[in-house]
This record gives sequence, C-alpha cells and structure tokens, in this order.
Amino acid sequence: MSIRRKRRKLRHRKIEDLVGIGFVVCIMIFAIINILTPTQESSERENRTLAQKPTATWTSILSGNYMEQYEEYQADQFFARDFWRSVKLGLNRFSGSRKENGVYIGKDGYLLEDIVIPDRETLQINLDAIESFAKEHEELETSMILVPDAANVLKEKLPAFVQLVDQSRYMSRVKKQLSSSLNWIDAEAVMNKHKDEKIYYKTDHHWTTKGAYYVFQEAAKVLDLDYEKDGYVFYPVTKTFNGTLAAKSGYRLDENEEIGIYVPQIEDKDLIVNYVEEQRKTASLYDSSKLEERDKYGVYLGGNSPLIDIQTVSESERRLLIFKDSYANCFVPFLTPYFREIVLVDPRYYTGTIEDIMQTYQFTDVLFLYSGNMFFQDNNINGVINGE
Amino acid sequence: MLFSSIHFLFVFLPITMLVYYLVPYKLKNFVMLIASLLFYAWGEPVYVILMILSILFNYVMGKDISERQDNLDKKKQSLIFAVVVNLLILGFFKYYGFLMDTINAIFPFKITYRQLPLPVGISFYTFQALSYVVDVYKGEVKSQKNLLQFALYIAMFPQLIAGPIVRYIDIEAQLAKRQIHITKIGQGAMYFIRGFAKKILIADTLGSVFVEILDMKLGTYSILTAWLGCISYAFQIYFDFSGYSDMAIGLGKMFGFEFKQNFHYPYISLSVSEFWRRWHISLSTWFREYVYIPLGGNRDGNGKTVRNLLIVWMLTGLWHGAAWNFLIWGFYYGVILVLEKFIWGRAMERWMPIVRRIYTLAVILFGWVLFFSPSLGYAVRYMGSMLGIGAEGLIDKQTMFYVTSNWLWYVVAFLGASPIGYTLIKQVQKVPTSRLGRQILSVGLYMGIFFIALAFLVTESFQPFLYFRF
Amino acid sequence: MMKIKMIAKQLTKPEVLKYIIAGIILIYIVILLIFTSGSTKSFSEVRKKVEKAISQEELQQESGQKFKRYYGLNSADYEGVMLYSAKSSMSAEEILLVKTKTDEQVKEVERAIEKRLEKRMLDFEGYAPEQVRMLEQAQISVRGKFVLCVVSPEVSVYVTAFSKAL
Repeated sequence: MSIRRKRRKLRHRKIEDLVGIGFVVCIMIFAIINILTPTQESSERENRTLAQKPTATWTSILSGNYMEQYEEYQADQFFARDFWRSVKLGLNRFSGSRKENGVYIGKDGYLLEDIVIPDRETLQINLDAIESFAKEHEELETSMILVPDAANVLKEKLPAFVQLVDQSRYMSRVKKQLSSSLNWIDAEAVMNKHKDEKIYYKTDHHWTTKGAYYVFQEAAKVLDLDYEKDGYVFYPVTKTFNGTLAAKSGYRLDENEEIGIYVPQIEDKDLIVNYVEEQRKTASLYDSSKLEERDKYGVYLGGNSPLIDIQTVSESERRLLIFKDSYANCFVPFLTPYFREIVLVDPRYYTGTIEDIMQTYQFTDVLFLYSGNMFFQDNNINGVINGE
Repeated sequence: MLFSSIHFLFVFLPITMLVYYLVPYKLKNFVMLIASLLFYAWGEPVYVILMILSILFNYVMGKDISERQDNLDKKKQSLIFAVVVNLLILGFFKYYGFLMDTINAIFPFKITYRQLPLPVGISFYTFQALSYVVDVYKGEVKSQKNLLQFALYIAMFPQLIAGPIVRYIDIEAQLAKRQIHITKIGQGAMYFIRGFAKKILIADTLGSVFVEILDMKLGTYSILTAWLGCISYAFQIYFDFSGYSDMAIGLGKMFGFEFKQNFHYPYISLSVSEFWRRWHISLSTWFREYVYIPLGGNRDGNGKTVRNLLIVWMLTGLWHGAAWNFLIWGFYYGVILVLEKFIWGRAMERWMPIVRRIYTLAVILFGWVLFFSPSLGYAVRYMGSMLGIGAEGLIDKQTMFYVTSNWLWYVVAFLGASPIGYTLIKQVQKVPTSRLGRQILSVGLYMGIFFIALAFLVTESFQPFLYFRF
Repeated sequence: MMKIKMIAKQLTKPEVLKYIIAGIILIYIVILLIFTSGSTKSFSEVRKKVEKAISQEELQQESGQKFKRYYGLNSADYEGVMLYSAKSSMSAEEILLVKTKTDEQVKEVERAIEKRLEKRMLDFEGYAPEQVRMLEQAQISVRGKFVLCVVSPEVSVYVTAFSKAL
C-alpha cells in the first residue's frame, strides 16, 4: 500500500479507531523504551536512590514481596522521570498548589517543612530516658538545645492561609519536664530574635551556620565558655548549594545558596576527627569532597555518622558528649576550642549503648542538640540510653 | 496488580494485547484465561488456588443443578449446597475475624484466633458465581458445559478484582463469540483513559486532601473544613470507584467484551433511591435480583417490604466491610429508603429540584461520614463538627488553604461528577470545522489526558483503590 | 481396568464431584490455616514458646541496639522483637522473631532480613562453607504480623515451634 493511500485510509477512520491505534501503539512503544532505558542507581534531582530489580526467591514470591518490589522497580525506573515530574509540577503550579510532597512553597523563595506532631507516647519515653540519664549522671554538666524548625520561626514566609501546629507548645513541654534536671539553652528565643537574618536555608531544612552561631553565643553563657565575640571570621565555601527540600518538592531547583563556615581568628588549631565506625580519620571538621555532591550540607563532618570522636589540642580539661541530629554538624566547629575531646552520637545510626561510650571516655559535659522536627519523631534515643 | 500501575500498563497489558490479538480466534479465550490467572496470581500468589477451586466447584454445581431439572426437591437441595458453600468461604475469609472480635468484646474471656488475609476480589467473584448458580436453578440460563468459558466468566481480569459484578446472563453469549475490532478497541481505550484520569488526577489528589483533614485533630477545625473533608471524600470514592469501573469496561471492550455501565452520575440524583439506581449499579442489581426479590420483594404487604428493604441494606453495608460502621451505614440507607418509599416519597415530587438536590446530597454526605470513620464515636463527633458542634467557627485558614491550592481539581471533579464534563469534552471535539482537525483534536485530547495522568502516576507513590478492601 | 474406569466415571459425576471439590476446598483452607495464617496472640505468648526451642548454650539474646546494628531497624517501631545470635563469632546461627504493628511493616522487616542474610553470606563466604550453606537454607516465615527468620542447622524445629505457638 502506498503511503498516500494509507494516509487516505487513515483520514476516513473514525475518531475511536484513531484513539485506539494511538493508545495501543503508545503503550507498546513506552514498554519498549522502558526495556531499552538503562537502570538508574539514583535520581539526582530528587536526591534519592531508585528501586533496583529484585532477585526472586521462593519466599519472596509466595509472600508477594517480590512482586511488590518489582512494581516499585518498574515505577522508579520509568523513562524520563524528570520530564514527567516537571509536567506534574507545572500543572500543580497552575492549580495553585503550595504544598508539594510535604514541603510548603513559601514566600521569598523559602521552602518550609511541615511541623511534625509528636507521638505522645514516644515523646514521653524519650523525655523520661533523657531525664533519668541526667539524674544518674549528676557529676556531668548536662544541657539541651532544641532548635525550632524554619516553619515555626519564619511564620510569615509560609504561603497564604497555612496554619501549622504550634511547635513552641511542644518545645515548652520538653522544657517543662527537663529544665529541672538539665540546663535548658533557649534556642527558640535566639532564633526568633534573629529571624530577619538568614538563619535558615531557603531550599534546605537545616539552619545556616549563622543561625548556629547565634545559638552558640547563647550556649556559651550557659556552658560557661570563655569566647570572644569577634573571634571568628566568616567565609563562604560554596555558593551553589541547593538543598534537600528543593529536591523533595521539585521547586526552586535552580536556586543557589551559600554555605559558609566560621573560622576562629586565633591560629588554626590542630585536631583529629575520628569516624569510629567508618574507621576513618581526618584532620579537618570539613569534608570538602562533599562540595562536589548534590547534598553539600555534608561538608560539615562529612554528613551523618553514627559515632564521631574529635580530639583537639585545647588546654581545657573538659570533654563533651553530644547526642545529636544533623543540626549539630554545623554547630560543633564552634565548640572545638573549649573542649579537649568531643564525641558525637547520632542515635538514629548508632547501634551501641551509652554504657559502651561512658566506659571508653571520661566526660565532663553532655549536650543534647536536636532540631524540633527530628526530636519529635525520633524514637531511637531511648534505645541508645537504655539499651533495650 | 492495579490497573493504574506502571507495571500493568507497560508490561502486563502490552504483552497480553500482543498475544491476544495475534493468536487465532479459537485460542483467544485460552490466552485471556491464562492472562487472567497470571494477573490474579501476581497479587495473590497463594489465593489463586482458592479461586481456581471456587471456579471448579461452581462449574460442577451448575452442571449438577441442571441435571436435576426434573426433580424440584433435589434441585433445590443442590442450589442450597452451592449457596452455602460459597457463602461459607466468603464468610470465613471476610467475617470470621469480625465475629471473633465481637464475641471477645461481649464475653469476659478472650479467645485468640488465627487470621488469614482477605483474598482480593473474593466478594466480587463469589457474587458472580452465585448469580450463575441461581440463574441456572431458575432456568434462566443453561449450565455452561465449557469449563474454559466458565473459568473466563469468573476470572476475567478486567472485572476480576473490583467489579463490575457481571451477571452470567449478560455475558453468556460473548464468552462463546464476540467481536474484536479497532473501533471497539478505540472505544475501550477512551473509556480506559477517562477512568485512568478519574482515578489518578481527581481521586488521588482530592483523596490526599481528605487524608490531611482526617489526620487533624477533631474539633480543631472549622465547620467548612469538616464539610470540605467530607466532600473531598465523596469525590474521592466516586472517582476512584467509577474510574476503576471505567477502566474495567474499557479493558473489557479492548478484549471484545461489553459490560454494563456501573455508575451513572450518582451525585446528580434527586432522591436517595435514585442515587442507588445510579451508584454501583451492578451491586444494587445483584442484591435486588438475588436477595430482595427472593425474599418476597414488595409483594407481601408493607410490613414485609420494610423488613426486606432493611435486610437488603444491612447486607449491602456488611458487604462493604466487616465492621460495625458499615453495618450501620447500610441500616441508615435502609431506613431512609423506607422513609422515602412510604413517608415523604410522594411529597418530594412537589419539592423544588434544588431542595431535592440538597436533601439528597446531605443524606449521601452524612452517609460517607459513617462510611469513612474509623469508629462510630468518631463519626458522631465528625457529624457534630459539620453541624457546628465542637467546631472552630464557620471558616478558617485551613479551608481557604485547601480550596485555593486545589481549586482546579475541585472544578474538574464538579464537572466530572455531572454530565457537564462529558458534554464539554464532546463539544470541544466538535470545535474544528474540518474532519482532519476534529481527528487531530480528539486524539490529542485523549492522549494528552493520558500523558498528564501518567505524569502524576510516575511521580506519585502507590495509592491503592478504595474498593480493594471489599 | 474396567473397574477403575467405572469408579472414575462415578467420581466425575457432578453429584459426587461436588462433594469432592468442596472437600478439597476445606482441606485447602485448613492447610492455609496451619501453614500460613497469622494470629491474634500477643508477642510475649509466641515469644515464650519459640524461646523454649532455643538452645541457650550456643545462642545468646541480643539487645534492641544489636537488632538495629544487624538489621538497620529500630525495635521501638515494632510490637516486639526477639533476637538471638550465636555466642561464637564463627557461627552464623541466628533467630529473629518480630511482631509488627502494621501490615505494611511486614514487608520492611522481610526486606531487612533478606539484606542481612546476603551480608552474612558475604561475611562467611570463602572460609566457612558450612555456614554459607546454613545461610542459604535459612527460612523466613511470615505469619500475619509475625515474622520469623531462622539461620540454624535445625531450621524445622524452630519453624514448627513457631507454627504451633500461633
């Protein structure tokens, strides 16, 4: 059949016929493209790993686990993910959506994470664990910094009509129970005082080093650190940081932010950072190789590690243990001049118990340093403290 | 396997279509059955055997009943055996846990028991099998001699796991002989794409609004937010389920089958009884044919009619799930339908259409509250906040946020739930003056909708169909 | 021969066959109940009975923190977790019993177990072939919200004890 006759025949077709042909051809072609598209390890733009082809075992087939994983693999490895995602985001933007994948698309370029509502039971268990730890170790100077999240401080940056739960209420609950057994460092007041400055990243859920610096100044009073107000110089290490909230929401992916560090003005002191479980030692608090990656916040202490031991040449006799989440990573550099040794424990990843640590090191101080959202959803603290 | 999954659309369906269209006509039923069994086994690798046994059992029962055509008593015995065995299987898997929990709640001691998960689609295929044996008994159809065709009737993948509940009588001829041609495939594709878009674009989007409202603490939001939650759910369940039915009908057509319409714009109804003539039509028909009429229907006086209606509706409620709120939801509709039939049905005809519409929608929306609530206490309190008891004012920021950030989907849902949406598509298709223009526009329109829904599917994580629980 | 044919003919008559099939369905459901069903029993009840089968000489109970180290899961997320592992580091023997809070968690636990087994196989590969074989023959038994994983020379003992405990 010549092309012309074919075309004429097509023209006399009913609309149904054409949609039918279109649909069938489309799913066949997409199926073939999917087979031909090589499997991707991870999605750079979404900042997550993608499901891989599962291996079949009898148990996994009988339980249906294999099929489920296979479907996830198919869905995750669909060709041109980024293109499909942009179509969806475009349409959502048109329909006025201001919340994407749990992230609020705020004003002035701010992306803000929803406030986590704590599970009452888990929170109580965590608080009891911390309280009993502080009471058992009265010889140690125990303190706590609970940093409010951006959405609780930068309320006016939230999109119109958004009303979030009041994180301050939960924070004061924590303060109420713990302030009798430990030193409460009021990060909330500090952050609120400086909320017109850039204390949170626009595209990431972390605080900026500047935010950490203000809280450090407050902490220094409570912890009795002899710091000099102008003792630090700020300098940027990258200007092309695009955070995880951008990746998660798909918005503001072209926003570039600055990450900076504060360096003590007095001569650069030597220190050794020991990533205990990774069995890796470095001489710097910063891992500049992370600046090449997508998640540049990892420049502080190389991202998240279960257990980090930092030895300094400080003349101080004090040794500090920190229970922390990733908010602490940019805070720790401020502390190094005042402690001979700082040990960082991230309960989410640390699989030993507190006893192991207490036996290895001789501490004088303990600090709990968390962001509100992480503290209110983390149920790992009790496990580390009580070893259950 | 969900119809709206990448795996179904781009692995299972293309392969099945390719094989099905290419094999000679004689083999098509066989290919369809194998595909259906694989489809079911993919989601239920263990229970596929149960379904095959159920097929064999009902096939034999059909033969057994028809062999006893001359002896009424024996015929009846055989029917009762068939019905009892089918209901026992369904009852065991679906209601055993509910029964035990109820017993444990009433008595002071606690019995632990073993649980088996509910086989997907068992409510649907058991009802189909029952319709077959009853119709054979009544002599309305002949028993199926061909096991392949009978197996296909029960297991056919388009309608296997969430309906529509096809009556054997409606499909008997098609099992033996059916036409497959491109126009029908095209009609099927159009149905499928509409259903796909209903599910992915509307049901899932508004469903997530509903979930967010449900997750908020009761009493912390306004009257309108409570209404918005309920309306979002009403849209979600309609577009979810009717979307699934459209996809099923569309797939059926692509493989040469014609299923009856399962939804017919239920939300435009002017009375509750009309609503149930338009909502999940295949289920209402089934209960009318196989429960209501055998019970005597409305032939034995008003008292019996009321009793029969209440029985049917409580069973309908229970069919939706083994829980008290479903039972009460069914009872609620039973009572309202009785009232409509005997008390205000006549008077309603003189009401203004707008009043009838508001009345009907209010009944339906309060019904959904019973349906979606995790407990009865919750349902009562939720209804309370819809009426202003324990709510935070008439309107709050939450309401505004959800409406302004999803307005497009509410508009689309509103249009789609009434015939306006479909008329609009038809009108748009007619806009170009040339035939070629119309062709390009129509194909573009449908494929465009398909691609947009696909974009949502690829980016979104899985959201199962609501009706899979039943 | 004739007789067999006649019996076969008798049996395939619908009036007989229907009882046979109904019987098979019953047997099938009973088998499902015995071998695949979950249970509403509490974690501690099941735990006690499984624990009885464990030889306390070779195995020792591990804490929730160890569960986190080995499986990457947090025991606080679940209804209950029991983990026993070999006292000797030369043995891959390990018994894990978990009751999850939700049905969705079951898959998560299963996946973690599969990962753990793979990792253990790498640990022992090359120098302890009998341990690798034991790992290959490990059994994961999912019963409702209960998940049992056994790496042991006596897999069936534990699986039976578990099955009976439900």
